[in-house]
Amino acid sequence: MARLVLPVSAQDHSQGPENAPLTLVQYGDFQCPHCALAHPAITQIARELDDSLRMVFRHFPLANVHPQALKAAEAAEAAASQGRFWDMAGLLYENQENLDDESLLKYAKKAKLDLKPFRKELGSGIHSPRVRSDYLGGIRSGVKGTPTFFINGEQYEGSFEFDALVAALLKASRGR
Amino acid sequence: MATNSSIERLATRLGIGSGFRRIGRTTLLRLTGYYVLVLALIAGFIVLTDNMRGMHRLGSRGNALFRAEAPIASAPDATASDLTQHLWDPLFRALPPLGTGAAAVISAFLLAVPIAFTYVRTRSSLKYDQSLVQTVIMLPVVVTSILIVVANSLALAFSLAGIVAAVRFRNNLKDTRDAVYIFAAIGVGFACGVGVLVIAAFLSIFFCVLELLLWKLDLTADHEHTFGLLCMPAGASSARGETIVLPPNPSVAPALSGDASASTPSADTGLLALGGAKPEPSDAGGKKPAERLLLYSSDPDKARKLADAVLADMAKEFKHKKTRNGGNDRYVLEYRVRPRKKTPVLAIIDRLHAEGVPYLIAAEIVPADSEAPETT
Repeated sequence: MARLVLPVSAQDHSQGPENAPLTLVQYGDFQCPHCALAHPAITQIARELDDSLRMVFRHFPLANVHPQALKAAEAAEAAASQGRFWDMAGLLYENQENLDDESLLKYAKKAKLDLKPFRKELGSGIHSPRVRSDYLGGIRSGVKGTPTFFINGEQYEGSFEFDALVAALLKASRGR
Repeated sequence: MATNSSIERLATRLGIGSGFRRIGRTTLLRLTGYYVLVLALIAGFIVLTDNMRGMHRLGSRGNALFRAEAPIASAPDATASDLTQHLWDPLFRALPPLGTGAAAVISAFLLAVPIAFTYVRTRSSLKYDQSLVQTVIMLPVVVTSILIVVANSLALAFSLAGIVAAVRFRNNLKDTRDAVYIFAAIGVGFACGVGVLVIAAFLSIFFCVLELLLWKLDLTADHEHTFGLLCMPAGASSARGETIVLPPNPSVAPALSGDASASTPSADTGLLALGGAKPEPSDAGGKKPAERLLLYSSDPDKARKLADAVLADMAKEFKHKKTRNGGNDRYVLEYRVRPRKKTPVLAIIDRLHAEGVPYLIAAEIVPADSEAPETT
């Protein structure tokens, strides 16, 4: 079983308490249909588990198969700089068939972002190194595709369905 | 366990990993009582219809159709209407009396109800699908009715196949196990449709008992346990059970600790045009320090050849330090590179990426004094 090489840090986009007994790290791509399918299950799990789960997102844009994934990841980072990463991530997954620049601006508006800095950051590619860094971290941890999950540092290789993920989290919580 | 109470609660709600589940005395009593009543009713049907005599067509009625073929074959000058008449007449004569047909349909309905009941009992609220419950109840009735009409008519069977092929069923089941309920319902409908009510009753009872047992025991839920139970000698611990478990908070796990034991199936990973970490600026006036370049590749020989050529062209000095297996069909090539003043190392990385598709997965510059991201 592959393990998460780069531990979760304050730099990561995370939801839930730092000392939560469960940590779910997702390497995701906003243009990946499988990630979009898994997203509602992940969101529901985060909502259900509340204080017991720390959910972390790391970028792993598969740029050669998803040409708009990199830009979408940078858009999410631009939203993160305004403290709205998760809102933007949700919007990107929900509308992943339209990820052109114009649509990204529309989602930014919907996420109540300040459009001026958002547009500037997106245009300058200032967040590109961050996305690259996440991607490289994924490569080091043996990530080969998206979505890839690590539960308490251990790669999860099962289904992305709600039940299957809950079962895996339960197993991790019981220390097995 | 107290800290993880919410995951335990959620798992209990979903009926996951909670060990043996309780079917409940009320469920068992109601199911048993229901089956006793239904079996009595079916026994009555069997007696009243003389063991569903009108529906045992495999012998007598089947022959009716084939018997009809003889005069057709022996009359080459028969008209089209004669042919049609010969084909259809035996069918209508072969249809069971209304009472027998009704007994079959009612039995199908009665035997389907406990299957739907079992579904409701064994599914959590999150996985419950109302349409499936109604389908499981209605499907046997429909299947039985169709079988009564089709009987042994080849022509009707083909017509039915055509109709079914024209209708598209596009319903995503919430759980793959739900398909089993559909098949069980079809099985009950089929058995009733051919008039073997005893088989239909047996199928219904056996399915419900088996499903409730599987649900109660939660068999095969834990892969490691099942693996140990089935594949390991008695008394030995499961080989899979010896996997290392990280502490609950991975932040306390050592960084860059890696593991090569993973053998996930190969899959295409998209290549991101990576620049790697920005190299640290050199000391003013000092000699530019060597950078540590890591190449991740699926084909180390090709990657080495490419890197040697590119670095010879673009770097001031370079040295291949080592190549190691990074696990997952991936190799890590390590170079020490001293870039030229006018050629930033990022340009080297860009060229490597441009020319290294598809065997070069990624390239990055890491601080020279850091530990290598060992993955073996």
